Amino acid sequence: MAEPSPKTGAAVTLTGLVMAVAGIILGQTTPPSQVSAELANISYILVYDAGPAVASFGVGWLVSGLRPLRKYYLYSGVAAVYISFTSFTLSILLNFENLPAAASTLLTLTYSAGPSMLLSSALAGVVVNRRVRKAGIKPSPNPHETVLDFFIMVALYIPLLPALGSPLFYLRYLLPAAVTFLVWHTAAPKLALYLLSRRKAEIVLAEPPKAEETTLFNVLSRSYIPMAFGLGVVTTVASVLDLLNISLFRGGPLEATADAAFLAAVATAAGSLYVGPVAWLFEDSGVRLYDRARRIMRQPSIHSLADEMVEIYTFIFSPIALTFALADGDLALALILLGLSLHLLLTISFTATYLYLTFSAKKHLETLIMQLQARNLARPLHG
Amino acid sequence: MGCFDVFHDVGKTLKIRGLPAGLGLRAAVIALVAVMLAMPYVYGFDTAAAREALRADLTYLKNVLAEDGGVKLGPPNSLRAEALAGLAAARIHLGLGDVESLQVLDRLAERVRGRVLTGDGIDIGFKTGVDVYENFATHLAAFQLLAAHYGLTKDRASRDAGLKVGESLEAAVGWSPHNSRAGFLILASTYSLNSGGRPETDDVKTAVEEFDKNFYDIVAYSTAAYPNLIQSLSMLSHLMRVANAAGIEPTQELAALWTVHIDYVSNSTEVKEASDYYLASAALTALVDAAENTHASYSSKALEEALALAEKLGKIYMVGDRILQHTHPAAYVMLIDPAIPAERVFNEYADKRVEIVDLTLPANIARLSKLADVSALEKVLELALERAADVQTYYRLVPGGVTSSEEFVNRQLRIQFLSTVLAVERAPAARLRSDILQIILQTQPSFLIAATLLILLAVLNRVGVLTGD
Repeated sequence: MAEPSPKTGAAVTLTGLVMAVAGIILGQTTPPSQVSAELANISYILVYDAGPAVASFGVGWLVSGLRPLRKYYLYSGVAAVYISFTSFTLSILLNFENLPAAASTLLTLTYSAGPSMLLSSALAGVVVNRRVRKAGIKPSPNPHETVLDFFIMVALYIPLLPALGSPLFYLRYLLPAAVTFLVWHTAAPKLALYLLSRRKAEIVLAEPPKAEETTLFNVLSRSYIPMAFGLGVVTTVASVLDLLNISLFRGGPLEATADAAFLAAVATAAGSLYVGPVAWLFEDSGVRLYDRARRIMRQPSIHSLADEMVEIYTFIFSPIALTFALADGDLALALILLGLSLHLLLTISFTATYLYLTFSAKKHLETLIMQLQARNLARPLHG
Repeated sequence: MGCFDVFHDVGKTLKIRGLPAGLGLRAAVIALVAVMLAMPYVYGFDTAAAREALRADLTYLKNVLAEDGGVKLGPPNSLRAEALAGLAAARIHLGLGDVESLQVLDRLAERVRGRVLTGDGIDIGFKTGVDVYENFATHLAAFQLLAAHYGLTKDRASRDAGLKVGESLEAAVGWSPHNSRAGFLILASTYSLNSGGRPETDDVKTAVEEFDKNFYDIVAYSTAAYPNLIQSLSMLSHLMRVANAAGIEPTQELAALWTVHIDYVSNSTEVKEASDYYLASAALTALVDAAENTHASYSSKALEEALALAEKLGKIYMVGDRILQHTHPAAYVMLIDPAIPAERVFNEYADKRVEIVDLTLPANIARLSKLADVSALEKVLELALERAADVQTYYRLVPGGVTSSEEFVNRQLRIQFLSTVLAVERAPAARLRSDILQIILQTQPSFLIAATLLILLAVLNRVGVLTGD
């Protein structure tokens, strides 16, 4: 696969534009005969779907190719999210009943331009990273990597703008995010300390604590854990109750999905302390458990059962099974509902993770190490 | 980054107050979690039992299907029986939206329209004059089934056959808002709207033109009798609703006629004695039909009247946890029994009354729950759901001995109720589904490609195929 380059990007963009123009010409010159319906359809797809999709893929590739090693693909990725979400929100907020062309353009931006630019950014990311790994060099950081996570967090809330007036928005999105963050902020070091103090093995401060940087991918990959945990717990509980013939969710498919996602948010708020911040504190603190008898040193970890909860199996299969049940076996509806609930949960866990990594993580690491030393629970590696 | 400093300060304050003596904060967090846990159960009815009951009805319906393609109901080879069974399947499909009920519906609709087109079991145009009543009842049943099938599946063949039946009805009993070709198109469009689809613009346009052309026929029909007025209000309300969905403006005269109908039905409906119940509940249905036109400002008046009427009817609907029986015309249940000859229904039983358990009031409350707060009436709906949604057997709504096909009639009545409740619940999700499918399959197909590749990349990345090696 070729490395993203501005030249290829420009060529692809041009191809897309040519396709759109061809579509316009086709639409203008269609003779009013029997085949015109088919042709009109093709011309519509070229102008409003295929053309813009190819062009925006090219633009994304072009941007990524400007400075491939400085992760410029992150810019096109973030831009793609903004394009999709903003035009989606505009199509809800604005009334285009008398302006079909404007409505079609917004649809194009939401469903064609945005996703294909995101795809080009993701592809560029994969290509660049493979190349970097093969060449054995370390890519230089993107100058804005620490701000882009904030932009993504804001972007997640854009589709919710029309719901600002509804109390459900605050209940289902803001409250769970705030509660999750507060629980993490108040209890994470205490729980980590308590868990470490119960270990029989000797605790060694092997490495200096190093807080995770708040870059886009760090926040994204870490926010995945609480989200998957919340989903895993709810789907497991719901499927057990289902075996007992107790249905947890009432109302139509939308309400039921909202309830399921909401319970997952509650589970995230209440239970993700352990799989989230505590696990991160273990990871970042540089602490090792030393088993004197077996002479091995290992990283403290959380219980394997909790780990399983966030495994890929839980993440991919259970939500699909759940939404599938709620959608009464309707695959298309199940996928739509899955998308909606993932957006809800990702928004919540992304916000909480961002807040935690930005405002609590460092302090918590310090507190943890200080407390471990103050209580004589840990000793330095060579001391 | 000024906003971040503020957050830092908040964080610090929280930390200082939270860590050493975090009891207060913790209590607050626990209280919030408790509130959040309690919230999801505030709204929504338990519709799982209703779904199960409808599935049981579908199993029953499959059992009455005969091997030759007909049904084991009523007299042999009865087209009316086949159409009534098909209508039941259509309603089950409206409620469940599943493939299984669609197969039964398709099979029966295909058979009925085939017989309609060849004039087998039905006398299109009432030419022979043989058994006029049975022929009329067969017309009505086929009309209803074909409208439901066309609305739910957009199968043009059912449209053609249905219009033929509508034309025949127009010629035989005169034009009326519901028994006419325009009425057929409106009914079908309403079915497709209720199942989350969009009505066909051309159909709605034709119906609006027809109604406009027959303006004085509507007025004459409505002023002839009070039940006619109610029927006209229902049809005009459906027309207004499908026209809005199809982006067509009904003429000002029709819109004005609609508001007049709302006023007349509101003013002439009374609930003074037990015998008023049947007509009042029919009027309630029409008012709810009108209130569902939330785009029109006058629907608020209909909603207000509907809520007041529902409250009055709710008071005499039940005692404790027992649903009372109410007086209905015998034809109300006998016409849906294919085993009773239509001639007897229209002559012998014309003025007879039967005491039955009514399910239209709870169905209307379910529809109203999407338009207004009906918490005071929820008991009615919950009790009716609990009673009617019996999976093991059917709930006896009609006393024994009144009808011949007892199980079929009772099941049909409950199917109508349960499917309405489920369709109301499913409607937003069904609309979302059809809108999104329309977008990603027809107007922006590139989305599917991009989304599939993105998910593929995510999964490959997660399992380490892209990062490994």
